[in-house]
Amino acid sequence: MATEPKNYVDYETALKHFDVVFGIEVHIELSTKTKLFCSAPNAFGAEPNTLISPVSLGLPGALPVLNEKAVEYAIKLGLALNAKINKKSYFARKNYYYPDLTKNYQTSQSDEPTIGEGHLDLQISDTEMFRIDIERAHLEEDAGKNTHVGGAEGRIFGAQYSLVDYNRAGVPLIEIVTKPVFGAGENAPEIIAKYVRELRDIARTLEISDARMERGNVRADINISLSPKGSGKLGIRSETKNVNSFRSIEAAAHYEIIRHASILLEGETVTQETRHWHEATSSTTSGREKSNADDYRYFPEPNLVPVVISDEWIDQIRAEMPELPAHKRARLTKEWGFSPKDMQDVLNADALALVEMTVTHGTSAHNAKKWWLGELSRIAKEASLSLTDLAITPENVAEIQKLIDDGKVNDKIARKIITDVIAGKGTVAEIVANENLEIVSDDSALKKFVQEALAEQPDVAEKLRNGNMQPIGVIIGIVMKKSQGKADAKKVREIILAEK
Amino acid sequence: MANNINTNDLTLLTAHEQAELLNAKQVSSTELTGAYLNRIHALDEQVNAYLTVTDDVALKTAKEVDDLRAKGEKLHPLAGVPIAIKDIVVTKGIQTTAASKILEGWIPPYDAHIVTKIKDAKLPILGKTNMDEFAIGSSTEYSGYKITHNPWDLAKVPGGSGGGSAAAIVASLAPLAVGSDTGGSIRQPAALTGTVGVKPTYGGVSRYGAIEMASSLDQLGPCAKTVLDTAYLQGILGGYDAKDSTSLDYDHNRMASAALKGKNQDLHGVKLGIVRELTGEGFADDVQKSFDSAVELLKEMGAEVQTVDCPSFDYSLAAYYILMPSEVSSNLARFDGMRYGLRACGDNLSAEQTMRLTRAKGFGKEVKRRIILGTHALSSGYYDAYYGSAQKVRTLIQRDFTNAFEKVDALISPTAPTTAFKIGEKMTADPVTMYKNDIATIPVNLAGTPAMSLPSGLGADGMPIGFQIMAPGKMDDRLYFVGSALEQALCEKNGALYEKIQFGKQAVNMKTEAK
Amino acid sequence: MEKAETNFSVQKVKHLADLARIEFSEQELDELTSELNVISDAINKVQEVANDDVERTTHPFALENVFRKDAVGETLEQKSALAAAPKQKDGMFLVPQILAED
Repeated sequence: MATEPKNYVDYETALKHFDVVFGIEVHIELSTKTKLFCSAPNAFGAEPNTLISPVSLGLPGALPVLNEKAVEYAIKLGLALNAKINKKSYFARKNYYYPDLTKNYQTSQSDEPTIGEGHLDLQISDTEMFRIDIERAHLEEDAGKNTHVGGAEGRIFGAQYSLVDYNRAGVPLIEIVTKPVFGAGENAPEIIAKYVRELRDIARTLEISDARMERGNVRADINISLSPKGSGKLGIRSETKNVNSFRSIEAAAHYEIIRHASILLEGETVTQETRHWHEATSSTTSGREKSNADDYRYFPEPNLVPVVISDEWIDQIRAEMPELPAHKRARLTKEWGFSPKDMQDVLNADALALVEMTVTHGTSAHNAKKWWLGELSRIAKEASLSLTDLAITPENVAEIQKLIDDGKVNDKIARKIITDVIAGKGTVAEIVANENLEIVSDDSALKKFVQEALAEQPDVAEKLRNGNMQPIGVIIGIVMKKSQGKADAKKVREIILAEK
Repeated sequence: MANNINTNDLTLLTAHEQAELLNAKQVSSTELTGAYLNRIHALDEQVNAYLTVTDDVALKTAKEVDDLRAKGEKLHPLAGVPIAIKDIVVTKGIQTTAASKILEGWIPPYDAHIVTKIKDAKLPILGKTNMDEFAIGSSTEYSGYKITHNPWDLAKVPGGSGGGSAAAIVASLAPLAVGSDTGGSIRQPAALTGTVGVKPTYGGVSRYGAIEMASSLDQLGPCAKTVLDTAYLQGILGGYDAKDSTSLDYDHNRMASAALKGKNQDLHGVKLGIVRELTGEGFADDVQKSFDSAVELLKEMGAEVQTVDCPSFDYSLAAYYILMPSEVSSNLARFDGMRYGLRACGDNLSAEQTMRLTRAKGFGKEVKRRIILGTHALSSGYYDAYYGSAQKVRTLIQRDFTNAFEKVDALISPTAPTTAFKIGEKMTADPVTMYKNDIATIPVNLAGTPAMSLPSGLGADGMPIGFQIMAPGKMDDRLYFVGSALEQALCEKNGALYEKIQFGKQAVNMKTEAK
Repeated sequence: MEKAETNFSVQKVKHLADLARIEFSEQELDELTSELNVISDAINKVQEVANDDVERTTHPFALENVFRKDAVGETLEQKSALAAAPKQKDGMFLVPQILAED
């Protein structure tokens, strides 16, 4: 048994010898106002241990009562995943000891989860779809958060002690478990990332989760195993945890495929274990060995009663379902006159919602895309922020684009307004007014600047009069300077031609 | 204080009688509460009924009641009548340990639902009563702190797990007490101390804030000297609570009216069933004899009595000793030294090792035994054979009850197979001997149905004997109706049993004279 | 359904003690093992009547869909949440070093 190979083969070699089988468990934190089993707030970023009740702290005698909204959210997700909504589902206790678990059992669902089998189709090229079969999705409570103190970079090993914050304890989660996925071939890492992204998008569209990867609202565990090419024999799997970006998900899967293949090609057996992904080194390391000694002693939670979901309840939720991401993408690509690549670029930049909202406020799709994928992406990248974190709204962007369309500001000024809005200097209108940024499109003012410029540059004026238009830029430049950059260059050119 | 009443007599009265004196302003709650506190401080060292006595809390409530009454405010009929609460119930600001060392010093930041109700009704809380650790036991010998003695014979056990509450009642150290009943912990101590104890229908009283032992079986209920007093107390404790998902909504005020109606001793049209499996073999002769003569009284009052079969009851002990430890193993997992209670070692060990040592030190032997047994019953490979089978036995027992209640209105049996045994007598190497005390009380916990124990007389050893009445779910009022009739008949025949106890009478007089 | 007969060995009880996070001395393990074997005989009996056609009972009363509205209620203050903590630091529960990741 081995956890690390002596040498690593390359990806191509790995795929030449083995078929990749994967499974994904995705935890989505629901954005209910309160926790799954008590009325303590479900919120991010509060002072430690302030969002807790006797129930979420697991105090003796405190009893759980199920949040109806969480069940509703589960049904929504089930419908989006084309899944069977189980008429009757139960909660069970999963017993294990860990300091972040207040009761030393997690209230989860075992044999009879709320959501049964379903599937999700992913578009993997212009013409190809790939189906991920879903085994189940169940409701459960999140645990608290441990901070390990005294070890390197807050990690567990070498830590002297840990500090526990139970604010997250009891936050509702839905865990979506796939069936083993075969046949993805070399695209496996990309498909895994795409699947998680699709779930993220669905969760956002359904408004059941903030679905922010960086906050751990969406967490993916990736199971990888390899089987000798064409053998159909299932290999021993590893489960990689702690992967919290799409890029990392793809990289981790890629890494694990190589690691498995390398071990197997050295004639060794892969150890069944948990792996941890490290962003800094782009590699995984050995975690806890998974053995059959894991005995969670599930039994029905006696303090909760069964959840019974009627057809009427499902129909009511179905009637309120929003348009799902896949359908919306297809529709918008067509409506916006985008090429598949245009759309893919927007998706890769995580900017679909931003572009769409900008379009809603009157900007053309191409211009909206230009701003969000261009200037705004640049600023976000520089500040290490995501686009949604920038202090500028799609409405702001639309407003600025309108100033351009109306000829009131030029591109350069528009960029300045964007920078100022993000810097918190005021609304678009305030910035334009306060700094007197509006283009000088007043003909008489511009005419005056042109006349002055021509007078200052008699040689150039002469050339222009003789029909040599080459040095016209010199005059335009002077006019721009005189107008403090606020002149509309196109207009200036027209005036020069008339006034020369 | 009205001049014709002295404090000794006061504490010997029933809660109902005390409430009448309070409402008539013949006695103040401060006087009544003070009388009990005096008695507790004078006598409890012999009984060990209390783990914590809360003089200040009790007197504060008493004064508040007196002030409100003086102003003519409308009060709950029992306002000002003191109460003792089993230490399994969480009380804000008052140490709550469930008699376990692992919770020593724990001051809860919240109140159990029933504590809120008791405070709303303004019953002064005298303190927290002793019990077997986490209510696991049948003798109160498994308390992590001290052994409670039976006031009828201090060398004997008061039963368990609620021995503290029962002993406090019969020793007149509290007129009312709250108990919890998972397999008989209210009824068996009631039987062994000659008091009345009721396990309401599962869901009848909110479990929110009752430290869980076996959640699908636990139920809180009233303890008192008389059927009427327990009925009044169930009226306070019972009722729907949205914080308990298993809470049921039915009227608990009708318990007292049923108890009052029962005093007429007219049981014509009432059909009672003797459970064949809970009589005869395994029950001591004097217990059986007392039961039989109580049955005769019931017949004399017009009840039709027949014997009914509940064949699956033979499996109830086995099912109980799977389900209960299984739930115990999970419920007690939270006591790990991380967030509250005992942490048994310093910082140099790992969290895991700290948990292991804390649980080793903090839990008593019987608790550990049941945790290990439950861990086994739930473990992979055994779950279906044990837990699954026990759940099926539960179904069979429910069916037996359903069938029986098609024939009769209530079922009857002795509460416990014997009278109180000597302290230490059953702490043998064979734990099953102790477990068999619960043979008659367990079936209703498995079915969720209500049951009452009331005294039917004294045994050959002069110790009390309990008589059990079982009713269909939510029909707790039948217990009070039949129980009250029997109590009244017995009282007219033999006098009130609780008045026969010798304990504490002399001591109170001495104490009073000294004042 | 398959029947299970349990004979507790010291080794088995030790494994259960590990699962239940309780430290026992060798002597305690020996005693516990023999006690559990006595209890085991008494509880094996449930399997005699647990036939496949009998459904399981989890709750005494068949309630369903007991829900809470998604509205924020009372919370504990940080101070009272931490009041009983054996150790605390920076508003958090201080626990000894955790050796294994979950």
